Amino acid sequence: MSIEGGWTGCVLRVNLTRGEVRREALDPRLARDYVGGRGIGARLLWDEVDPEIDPLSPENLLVFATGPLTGTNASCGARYMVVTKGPLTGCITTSNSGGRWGPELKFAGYDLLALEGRSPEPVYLWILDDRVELRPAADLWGKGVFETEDEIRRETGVVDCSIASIGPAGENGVLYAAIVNDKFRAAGRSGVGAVMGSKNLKAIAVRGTGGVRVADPAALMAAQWAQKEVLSKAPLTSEGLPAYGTLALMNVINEHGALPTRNYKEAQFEGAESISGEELAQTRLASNKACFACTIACGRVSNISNEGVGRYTLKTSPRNWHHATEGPEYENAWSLGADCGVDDLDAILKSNLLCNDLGMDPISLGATIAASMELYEAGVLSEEQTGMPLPFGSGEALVAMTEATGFRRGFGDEIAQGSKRLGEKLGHPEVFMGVKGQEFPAYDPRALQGMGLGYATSNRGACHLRAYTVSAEVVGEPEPMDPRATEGKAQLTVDMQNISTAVDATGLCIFLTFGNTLSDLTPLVAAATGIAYTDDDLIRAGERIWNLELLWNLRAGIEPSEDKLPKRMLDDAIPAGPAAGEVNRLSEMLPEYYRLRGWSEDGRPGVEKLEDLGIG
Amino acid sequence: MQALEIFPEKCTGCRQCELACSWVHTGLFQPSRSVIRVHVFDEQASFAPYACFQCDEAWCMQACPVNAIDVDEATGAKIVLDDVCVGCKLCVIACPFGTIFFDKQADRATKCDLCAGDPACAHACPTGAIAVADVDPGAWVGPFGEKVDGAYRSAMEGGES
Amino acid sequence: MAEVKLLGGLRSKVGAETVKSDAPDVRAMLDVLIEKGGQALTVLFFEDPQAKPPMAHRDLRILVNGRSIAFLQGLETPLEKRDKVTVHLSGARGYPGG
Repeated sequence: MSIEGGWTGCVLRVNLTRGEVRREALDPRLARDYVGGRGIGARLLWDEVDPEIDPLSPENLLVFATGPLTGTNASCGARYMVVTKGPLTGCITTSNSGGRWGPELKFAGYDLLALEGRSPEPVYLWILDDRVELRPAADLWGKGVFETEDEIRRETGVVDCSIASIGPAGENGVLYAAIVNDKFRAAGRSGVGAVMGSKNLKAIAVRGTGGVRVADPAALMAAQWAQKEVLSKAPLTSEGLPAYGTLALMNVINEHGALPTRNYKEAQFEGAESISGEELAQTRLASNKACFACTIACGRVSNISNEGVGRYTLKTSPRNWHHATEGPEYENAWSLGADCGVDDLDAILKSNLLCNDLGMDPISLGATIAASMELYEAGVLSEEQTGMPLPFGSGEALVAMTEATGFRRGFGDEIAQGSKRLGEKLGHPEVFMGVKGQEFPAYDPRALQGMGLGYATSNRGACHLRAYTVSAEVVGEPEPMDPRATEGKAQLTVDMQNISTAVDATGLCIFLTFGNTLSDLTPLVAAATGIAYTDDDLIRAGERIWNLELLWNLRAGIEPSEDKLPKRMLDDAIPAGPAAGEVNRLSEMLPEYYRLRGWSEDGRPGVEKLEDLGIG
Repeated sequence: MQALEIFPEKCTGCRQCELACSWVHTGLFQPSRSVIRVHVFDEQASFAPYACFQCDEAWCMQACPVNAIDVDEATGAKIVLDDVCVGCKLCVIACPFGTIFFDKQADRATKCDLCAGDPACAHACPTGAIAVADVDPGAWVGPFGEKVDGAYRSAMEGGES
Repeated sequence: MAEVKLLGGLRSKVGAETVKSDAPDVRAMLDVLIEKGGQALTVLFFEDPQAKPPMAHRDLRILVNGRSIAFLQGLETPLEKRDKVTVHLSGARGYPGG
């Protein structure tokens, strides 16, 4: 077997301890079976990393993995995945990002970049085609992402390079620090930025003048025209997402009574309209925007209002706040907004901008601020401890705490550890709203039963992307399913997990599934790689990768007993709104989920299942 | 006379045009060898695809010492004659718009030739930001520049520095 | 009167964010919206506007007090005085999210 196209066939390995760079050939069989991105990254971790290591130690491996379709003209072909052991969760973490960085790595000639060890001094990695070098970054250390990018462009003289970097949050080990590329796109969750910071790696700048070849050009062109035709006809991908972005969900989820509010105490937010996609489009939106090769263009570019600019004083950031910034996405506006009870869109925009520049996951940050607000209002935290009033609804507290957390100053040092550790430290573990240490995103599982199962069983901690049952339970596609019911949710979750994993592995963006089915995607992968994949092959690849991730977690000491939800989700009913009286009935879904996965009753894959999937 | 008609307000920065251009010329997805390039303005709030204006002055043609740049009779596009070009790069220096490039791999100058009248970039653009028409090629630049400049000025005045 | 809240692109198409309606059921409420926003709405609301009675368009999403009419009585779902109705267009295809 040989690599015919799609993949470049080259893995770049960097040892930061010794400052050494080497290249390895990508094993074609591995590529075929694990497809790319998330899959090959998981295999690398499985083969090379002891799952019990400290994620912030030099022993952790930090992998940036593209897929065979990254950098082709397939729509949504911009994605790469960061795969590593996550500091927030202790699980294998797979964090996806768009923008331009993934394709640029492919154009430089590499499928994956794997970094091991720890540099003795702060460095950044400079990749210009086959020229790969570690450069001193002492002058960059401490700078935000925006300034870091500008400075690297000045220093290298290569204006059109693409840069993935960390801000102060990653440097300071904020447990949910993110890696930000192209200034506004992020591999956001589980603290991948802290791993990068622990390696003293400030940034990776790439410029690629090469090209991506494909095995069957004629077939690829036919498949991508077909894919794009479908996307241009589906109303959501051709009109809805470009017009409102993911923020269209704010009002929709709120109307369903599923919008978690004030640290998941309630499920409807009276201020939802003020922070909705409609409001943004009307009053703050400068433009929509696309990632590389994307024909959907769901990105938001927003301005803070003139009035809002002067309202929040910040100690740092010399940037002009009125400039456009990318975002906010639905998850961000929810966690910084409804979850904190904040209905001030400017405060959310400012906090979101800070998350970009300082390099932090807004979901975990907002959720941890929300947990802190709950503890403050309950009298567990005093103003003396927090440094300022921290009630729900305070936009001022939101912005101030965002900045404080990025720099781990004052109470920000506490927020930086995430809401699980914060709650436990203060003797109130019940304020943690998440799974396996990672905070929930923006859908109340008491109102949407399927999401509870998806959150509980996601390999990287609570996550909405692995099994987006919202599609059936709210959007009504591929078919409407009753959000109050548990029937059928286990099968839906298994199917969605397998397929979304496969999509991640191809290097395309999951949002293409809002128009395309897997049958639109398979011909693209086959034509690019020259391997006659079928839909089933890709689903099985997804299942294979899922099982491998789970196995890794088991060896890391993450027991299936962690597939659970907080007490508030299981026992405390939603107090008001359309889903009043509901709790999540995980116990009705989890056993069936394990059974459908072919696992034991206590959630472990058996030897037969693993052999069947070809996992060694 | 044909030229690319650009509607920059429709551009989302997706770069499908760059991919299509490099594909038809090189058989690879290789934006660095595309002769249409998407430029980013206003902190990524505005984008515009930017290719040869097929200008009347044809500075490239005037600068070329070996007459390697000619006019395509059918489209009026200025085209590089690959077997005549010696790769001296005088055209690259001469073009005030920066839309003729030196292709290291081919060792030749390279520029937009309108794909003989059926531009790949126009087909690939998902939002209709690129068309081909009998238009004054640079007409979009003035209004676009004013808009970008205006946004910048109001941002500088409107917020903290 | 029941309160009908419109989301997303429907707001500009109907010409309002909320509309009050004393229509007896969801189907009649849609007629109220069409009267307000114009006949162009019929192709958004109904699969085949000529059919008698026309069926709901596959992209039409209607909630009554936060419950999808798919799990109530569809377009025949009765409406009461204090009901809160939400109407929006969805438009996903494929296998969304997975």
